[in-house]
Parts: sequence; structure tokens; C-alpha cells
Amino acid sequence: MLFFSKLADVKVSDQAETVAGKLMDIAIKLTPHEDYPAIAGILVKNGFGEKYISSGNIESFNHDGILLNKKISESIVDIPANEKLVLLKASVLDKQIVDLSGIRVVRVNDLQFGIVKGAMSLVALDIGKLGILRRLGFGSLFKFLKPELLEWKDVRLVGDKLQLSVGVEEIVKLHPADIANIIEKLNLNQGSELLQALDKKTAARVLEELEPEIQKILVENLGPERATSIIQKMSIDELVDLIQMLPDRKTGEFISNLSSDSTQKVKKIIEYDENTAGGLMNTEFISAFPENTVEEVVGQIKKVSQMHRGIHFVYITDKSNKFLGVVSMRKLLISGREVTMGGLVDVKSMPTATADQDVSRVASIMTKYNLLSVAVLDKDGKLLGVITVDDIMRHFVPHA
Amino acid sequence: MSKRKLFWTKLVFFFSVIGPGIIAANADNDAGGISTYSIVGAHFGTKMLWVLFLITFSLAVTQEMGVRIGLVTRQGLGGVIRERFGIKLTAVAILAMLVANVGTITAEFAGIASSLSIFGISKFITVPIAAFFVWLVLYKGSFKTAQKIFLIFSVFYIVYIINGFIVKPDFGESLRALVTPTMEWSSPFLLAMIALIGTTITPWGQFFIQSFVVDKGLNLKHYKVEKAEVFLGAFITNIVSFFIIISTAATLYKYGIDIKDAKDAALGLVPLAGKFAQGLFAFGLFSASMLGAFILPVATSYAVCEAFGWEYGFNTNWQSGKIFYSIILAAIIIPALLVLLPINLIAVMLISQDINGILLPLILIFVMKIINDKKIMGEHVNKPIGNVIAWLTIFGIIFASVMLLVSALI
Repeated sequence: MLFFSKLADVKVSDQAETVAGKLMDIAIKLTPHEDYPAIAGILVKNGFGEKYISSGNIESFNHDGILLNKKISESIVDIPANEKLVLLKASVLDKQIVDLSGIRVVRVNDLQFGIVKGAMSLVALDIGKLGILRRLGFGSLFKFLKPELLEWKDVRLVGDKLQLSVGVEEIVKLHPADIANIIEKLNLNQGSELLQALDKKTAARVLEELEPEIQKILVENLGPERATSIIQKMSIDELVDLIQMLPDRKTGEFISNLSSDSTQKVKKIIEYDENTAGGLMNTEFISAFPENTVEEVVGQIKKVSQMHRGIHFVYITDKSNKFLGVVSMRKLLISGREVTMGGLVDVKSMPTATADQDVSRVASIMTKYNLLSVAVLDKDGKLLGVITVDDIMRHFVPHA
Repeated sequence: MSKRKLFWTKLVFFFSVIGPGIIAANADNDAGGISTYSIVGAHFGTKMLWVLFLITFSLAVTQEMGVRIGLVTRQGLGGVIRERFGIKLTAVAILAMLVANVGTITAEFAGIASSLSIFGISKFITVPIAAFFVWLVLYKGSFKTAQKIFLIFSVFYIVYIINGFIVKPDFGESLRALVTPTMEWSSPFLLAMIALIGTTITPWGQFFIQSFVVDKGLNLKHYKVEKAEVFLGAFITNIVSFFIIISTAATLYKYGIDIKDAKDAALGLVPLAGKFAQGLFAFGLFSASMLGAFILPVATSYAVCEAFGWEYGFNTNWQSGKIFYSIILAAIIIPALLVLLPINLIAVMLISQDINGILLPLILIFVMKIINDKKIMGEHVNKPIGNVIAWLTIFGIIFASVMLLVSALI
């Protein structure tokens, strides 16, 4: 195996032992689905500056030197400007990368090359302590250490827009909470680039999972216009939390960019203090009237289900929006299609919260009655929204 | 939001934006700081005030550069050095920082030991307890709370300013001393002078302010506020230093008393506090030392982990952040053990600041290379005036260090 640490600065010479210069950098071509990208060429430095030699003109790579198969004058050219080359030393070595397999951000300590399908290729990125020690010249003393290697296909360069656009589909497969963890480790510019590379829906989920402080910073960094297209897709309660964190003069800017539907919902919640049930509740839930049948309600759920993260209950109200009770998912599943909601609704009086109640009060109601969610009513008993147990968890443990 | 809440949000916002400069500057007046300033005043009177005057500008300029690099690169200094200079020079920079920081943390524990020794408690009791307490708080992740508590305690410095007026020093003469360079080419003078510089502008301060700006998520539009805040911070911290020096100059220096332990240094506060001087001094030195003992191990570990790409931060657990926590632990245990050796605690506090001073130019040269690199900083590279002040500082310290070596050899 060859290492960049040992190839750097080796002599590049031709068959007649004329020296072309020292090896400065190694270039690969950016191809989306290549596990072991072949070396496209090398950068050589001599008295006249930096030049490029394509890998087709290279006979062999060795830690002692690089041998060309043609005369120097025939192989050395200016650095090609248009090809999509990734210079490994300039943009990979010592930089931070996203390790998709370990879901973390690490630094590249060394690069490993080997022959794959007859061509010298980038085999792995060394992110371990042995890589550091090798670069410092102590590698041979610490042979007992295990190398920590990552394959090219498992990493994403974060500073590189080009590579992000190619590799983003694998990132999208991760859980939003894991993507959020990666973004928290990156610096602001890299983090917002990664966020923008995601599709809007995933980006919104990721944004929900970020720590409040970082959420705020990222959104401010994106600016109202770019940020709104993403935050529009967040659930209303998270969106409200976010808007409440922004400085007062910014709040207006963001709200005015939202669609009128979201704006109304946001305004409804934003009236309440964030430590009350009203500030925490979500206004997106499934409701029905007592005369609706199971079939109608299930049909409605099928239509709108993708807008909701979890549906545990259907909230039953009368025509004036007065809260009557809930019907659980289980009851919906086991009841006949013609049964009406009025027949299914719990006759026992269901504990509820009022909008101005303190969150800790709501939490104790939910704990006492083992509720997964609780309806929030105004003083006339009209249904305003619901609070689920994960809203409560996020309120009390915001940094998890 | 209710009115009361709005007030608190605004207050928090105020602190969140104008934080880094003041905090970094304030943490500068730690155990090493208090003892060095006390010694400078007690042993040399007002002779070194001109150095303090000059390094106020140096401190402002270097801290401002740290803020600017942080705002532009959104990375800590360790990370930027790694990406710009590769791994070998990074190892050199990090090693220098490690030596300086271990020295400073040793000074913090020496400060804890000597402040409580005023009450007759042995360092073999106080240092292990303090070390364990610091580790526990950091491991439990209550770093920010601890930092705030001790930051509030550091308001204690005001007593030096009041004290400075009570001793009725000759302000005319003090102000003249600020602008009148006086030099002695002796080892004790040079030692105290380098320590004075090294405790005011520190390698860790350079890393700390940059990380702070990045972690706070401030960006370039906050630059003007930050710049003003950093300048204000440099001014405030050196006002305090000025009063510590004139306090001990007007008391200890006047009567020819050398500082051999914390009780001597406490004499500087007698004009204000009378027989309570020792208690007051002990309280101040203890708070300042604890503040440093909390901040430094963390700052050290952040920088090392960032430079070498290991996971860091208090949201990691022991498993994924093993190296991060190990470095913190080592940065507490090694200095604590060093303090338990039979050594003079005051000397430890002074010498550690000399080590900081001697290693400082190395770190500042990295900072200078970065801040003048158009590829990194774009349009935010240094202006000539900043370069002149920073290079004069660097060469000034190198010159003083060389002279120290020469004077020691002769």
C-alpha cells in the first residue's frame, strides 16, 4: 500500500532519469458511483511552477519516486482548468469530512493508494492516530496501532459543493436526527451548505432536530427567503418555537414570507407564552364530528396522513368546535365501517388542558392519566390544538 | 411573551453578543495574572507600567484578530492551522499550546492552594478536592453554569480599583510611568516583564476567543460590535491590572517587602480592607483560580481535538468523546500533581506566565500568517496598522526572551 504522506515530495523522473520536479498533489476525477476512484494525474512542482502530468504518462508509483513512461517534455502540461478534478491534498487532506458509515465528522490524516482494476487508485482515507503519527514521521514506531480507514464511497467532502450535489442521496437516507448531529459538528458555512443540498422536506425534519441555538443561527445565516422554503415544511409547533427565538425585528420578515395558511396558524400560537400549553401545542391534528362514520374518518386520514408525523387519536368536536372527546386509533381499527364517532367516543370525561396552563402542569396531567396526547381548549371549551408527549419531552430536554 | 420574560431575553441577548471579549479579558486576570501583577508592583514599583500601557494595544489587536478569523472561517484556531499548514506545523503549534496551558492550569491550582493556605488549610487537602470538583462539574456537563458563577465572583477586581484610590498613590507619577519606558537588564526584571506580557496576552486566550466566537454562532455582521467589545475588554482588564500594580507598588514596594507567598500579596489590600485584607484577597484569588481551572482544561481539549479531528464537545458521551474527556482529565490531574511537589507556589504562578510569554510569539506568528492570507480571509485581511502592532509585539517578546537568556548566562 502507498500512502500520500510518503509520496509527497518524492522525485518525479522519466526513463532517462531526468527529474521533472517534486510531487505536490494527486488528482482524481469526480465520479458519483466509483468505490475506488483512479488517479487522474499528479501535480508536480519545479523551478517553473506547478505543472500537471496525466496518469496515462506514469509508469509506476513508488515511495522512492515516480517514474514516467515518456520524456518529460512530452508529458508535462499546464494544470487543466475545465476537468472536474479533485486535488486530494488541497481539498481532502487535513480537511473535515462526513463519515457516512459512522455518522460523524472527522479529519483526514492520510490517504491510501493501491492498484484496483489495473490502475493506481485512491483506496481509503486514514482518519486514525496511526495516520497522524505516520505523517509526523513516527509511523514505524507505532505499528501496533490499528489503522482507522474509511472508503471513499462512505465519505462526503463538506466544503465541496460539487461533491455534495453528487453524494446527497446517501445522506438523505440517514435519520434526520443523525444528519442534525453531523450539521452540529460542522462549521456554519458547511452546515448551511449541507442543509441546502437536502430536499426541502428532509431539510425541515433536520432543522427540527437541531439544537435550538444552532437552528436559530442557521436560519439567520440562510436569510428569510431561502430559509422560508425550508421552514415552511416544519411542523407548526416547531416553526413557532423557532420564530419565537428570532430577534423581534426579524420575526416579521419571516412570517411575511410564509404562505398565508401557515401565517395564520403561526399567529394563533404565537400569542401564547412559550411556557404555556398554548405555546407548545400543535394546531395540526385530525378532527371529526360525532355523526362521521369510521369509513369517512379513515378515508380522511388516508388523504392527509403524510402531513402528520404520528396520529394517535381523532379529536371529536361539535359544529361550533366544542371539544367532545377522542377516538383512539385502536377503536377505529376494530370497529365496523358504519359505526359513528358519537358511538365510539370515550364516555369517561377525558382530561384536557387549557391554553394558558403552564407546561409543567400539562406534563403532570399527562403523567397522571398516562396520556400520549392531550387536547388544549380555550375557556369556552373549544378545541385549539393538541400537545403530544414528544412536545413535552422536547420542552424539558431540549438538547437531546 | 410577557414583559418580564422580554426583559430577560434582552438581557441574555446583550450578554450573548457582548460576551467573548469581556469574558476572555476577564479570565486573563486569573491566578497567574493576580500574582504576576502583584509581584510586578511589589518588586519594581511603577517601573513596568509603560509595558502594561503598550500591551493593552497588543491585547486589543491580537484578540480582535482572533475574533475576525473566527467570524470568517467559522472554525477554531486549531482547525484553521491544521487546514492551512498541514499536520507537522499543527503538531508544533498544539504542543506549544499544551505546554503553555499545562503551565497555566498549574498556576490555577497553585492559586487555589495558596489562597486557601491563608486560612491554614494544607494544599494536600485543597488541591485534590478542587481537582475532583472541577472534573465532576465538567464531566456532568455543567461547565457553563460554573463559568457564570465564577465570572460573577470576578467582580471582586473592583476592590482593587477602590483600593487603588484609597492608598492615594501619586497618580501623576503613575501616569508618567505609563508613558516613560524604564528598563533594567537584570534577570528578575526581564522575568517579571515577560510574565507580565505572557499573562496578559496568552496562547490559550488566542484559541479561546476564536472558539468562543464560533460557538456563539456570531457572524460577520456582528463584527463591529465584537471589535468594540474586544477593545473595551482589553481596556477594562488592563485598568484592573494597573490598579493591582499601583496597589502593591504603594504598599509593598514602598516598604521593600518582597512577595514570597499569598499572605504577602494580600498586604496590597490592607489600605482598603484592613484586617480583612487576607480574607478578601483569598476570596478573589480563589475565584479567579477556579474560573481558570474550569475554562482552561476545556479550551485545551477543544483545540487539540479540533486540530486532530477527534470528536469533542459536551454532547458527546464517554464512548464517542473518549479522547476529549481524557485530555480534560489529564489537563486537571497533571497540573494538580505538579502543585503537590515541594515548590514555591508564588514562583510557580510567575514562571508559568513566563512560559506563556516565551511561547506566545510562535502562536502569534501562525495567527499573523492566517490573518494575512487572502485565500482564507478574503477582504478581511489585516490592515497595516494591525500588522505593525502585532509584529512589534512578537519581536518585542522575542527580544525580551533573548535578553533574558543572555542575562541568565552572564
